[in-house]
Amino acid sequence: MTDGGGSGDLFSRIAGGDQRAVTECVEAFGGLVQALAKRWNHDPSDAEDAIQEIFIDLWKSAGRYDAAKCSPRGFVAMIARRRLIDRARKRGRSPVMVSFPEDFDPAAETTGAAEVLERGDAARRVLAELTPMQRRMLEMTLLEGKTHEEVALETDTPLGTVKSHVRRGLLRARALMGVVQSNEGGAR
Amino acid sequence: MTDMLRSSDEELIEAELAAALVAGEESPLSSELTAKLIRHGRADVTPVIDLASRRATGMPSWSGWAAAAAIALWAMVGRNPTTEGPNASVVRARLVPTAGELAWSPGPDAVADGAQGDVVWSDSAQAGVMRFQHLAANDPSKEQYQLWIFDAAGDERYPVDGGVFNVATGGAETLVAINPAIRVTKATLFVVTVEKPGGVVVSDRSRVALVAKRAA
Repeated sequence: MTDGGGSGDLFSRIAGGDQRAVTECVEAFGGLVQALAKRWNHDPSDAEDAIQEIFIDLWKSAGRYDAAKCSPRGFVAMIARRRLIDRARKRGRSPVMVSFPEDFDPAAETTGAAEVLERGDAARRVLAELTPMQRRMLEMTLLEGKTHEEVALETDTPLGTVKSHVRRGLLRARALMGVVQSNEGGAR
Repeated sequence: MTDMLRSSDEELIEAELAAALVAGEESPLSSELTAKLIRHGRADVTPVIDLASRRATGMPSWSGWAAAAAIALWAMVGRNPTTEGPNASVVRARLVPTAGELAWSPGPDAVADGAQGDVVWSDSAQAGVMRFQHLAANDPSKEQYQLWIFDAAGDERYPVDGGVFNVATGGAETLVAINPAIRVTKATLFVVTVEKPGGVVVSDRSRVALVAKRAA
């Protein structure tokens, strides 16, 4: 597993037509894409199809990577999740994108972060702070596209508790990443 | 870039968390899938082709649609070795002292009758250059040469695709820089086959032009 450090310029090289960067990109992020694809596709052939589609999307989108917005691994994961969610919808599943709650208080949440971390580090820090059950709930929502209701049913946990755990993980990540609610250009 | 594919902060945070969640589950892709992704990726990620410089570096002087078709094919295949050009001779000169030269042995195909030359390859540098003399010129619209690199660390049924290339004039010396599709850990054998335009994913090895074997 690579942390993708120093890979930011890989995407600009791909956008510029550097074919050696293609090989480097597959070697650097193939494992990540495969791991994500396997979470969404239990059939190996489906997973392989998904991996190929994700990399096609990545070649097309490489020029839009913005290092100020996310880590290289985060960028690849975003492209992958979009494709995987789209494939799941076509199969009849209706995965949901987890949304931040409307009553989110960014000032209060950000107060808890003594430092602003690089985004990949922040994500790892958040996971390290979770209990196994909280982590499992986050996995089910972020990696398997399950609704809060489905998570509650499968984990035999009250719905309110599930929502609270998932929300807490997302808010903690936002705080550690130093993201403020003003949305710094994030389009909806 | 301000919109990052019109992504929201939330989506980016979720993606960072998703990447972190699967960090312990990552394993290398199979060599077959890796090769496929790179091959398709290089077809999709095409460099800007400077027609003038291509001609100046040894591109055959076809004209009209034939040249356009050949260049389009080169762009589509993408991974092809670079024929001639000043870089190939420079790279070769740098590699020879440490990597040594492996002489080509003609294969059974008639295109290699009287052919000579060698291949220089460095596993550590992941770079190499092939040199040919008297290898028959090919018509790229009908067939192309394709390099295969057998890796001691890989399955010999699936050698690494070294890309397709052309020989413009059989008698003259031709240098071809090697640019394999995937990393070669320890090259043991280099084989040049004759294939259909654009090359093949798996060669039936029915037309073997040249072979160069590295001592064990």
